[in-house]
Amino acid sequence: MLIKHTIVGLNLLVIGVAGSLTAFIILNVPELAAALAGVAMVGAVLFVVGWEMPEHPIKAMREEIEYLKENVERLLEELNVLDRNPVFIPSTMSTDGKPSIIIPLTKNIELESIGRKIPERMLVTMRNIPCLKLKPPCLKIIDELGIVNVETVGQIEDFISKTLVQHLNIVDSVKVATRTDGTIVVSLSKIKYGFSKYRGKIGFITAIVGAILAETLNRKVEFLKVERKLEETILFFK
Amino acid sequence: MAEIVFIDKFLVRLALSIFAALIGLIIIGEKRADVYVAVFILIYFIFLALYSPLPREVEGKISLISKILLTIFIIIVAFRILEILAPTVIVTMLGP
Repeated sequence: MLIKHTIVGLNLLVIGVAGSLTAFIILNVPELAAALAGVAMVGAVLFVVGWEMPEHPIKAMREEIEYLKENVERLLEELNVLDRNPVFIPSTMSTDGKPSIIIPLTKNIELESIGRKIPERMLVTMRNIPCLKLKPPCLKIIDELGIVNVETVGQIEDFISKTLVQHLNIVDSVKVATRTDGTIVVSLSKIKYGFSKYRGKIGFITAIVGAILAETLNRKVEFLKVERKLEETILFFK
Repeated sequence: MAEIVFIDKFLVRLALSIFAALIGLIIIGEKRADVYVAVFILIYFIFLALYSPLPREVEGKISLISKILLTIFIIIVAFRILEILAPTVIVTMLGP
């Protein structure tokens, strides 16, 4: 329960209902009655949100994330894969029906060499090259948004924007463009949340964008590099 | 945390839009309370569509509010239609 939301919502609801009835029946002022009915409506929604939403123990969550992140990073470092280019696979190419990230363990794998459905394992082999198969973040949001194969860059931009701007609220805006050589350029302006330093190539945002690109294009997408210019972060995929 | 920010955005924009609609209707001199309420309900449904899917935790109870508001909207519209088609029925229902 979000206690502030609940209390404010309940107050608005009570004031709104009582006030609008008084204004309509006793005072006979329809404008005031309507205004208070609007207050009651907003109050009802606020009350429901406050009542139903669980309060997150933010400090504990941060500590948990740091603990998990640190250990995963150390594990990837031991496997010597921190600087490998990850390949994003759409749900149609995975047996579990979810998008995934492939990191080759020995050398950078060629995109063309992945031609079958990837089994639901963390360690998989492709043409005898051992690879790590990781799950990208925000699979629930990707699922809820119903991200499907699209035809235009604008639609891809819309999906990425909905996820990063509307749902997660971690960047100000998103722009997607394609170059003649097939490179997909994703520009993210003003990353709001100060993510702690990650030395590997697949950071949180990169993984989300890569997974959405693979889903919308319905093909393998390779992450190439990241560039930072002032407040803008530019991700390159192919 | 992001879900709370998302739902807060929905609430703030809903409240601002209802306020804007209220001011607009007052400026044009609207005196019927049911028109105000119908417009507010429409705004609510527009924002609900724009911000869906809402977090799973609140979806159930929000749909209950939606059902109540939809019922109120249907009653308002039904009265308006009845007013045109059979004004005598309205007079009978509301009394002398």
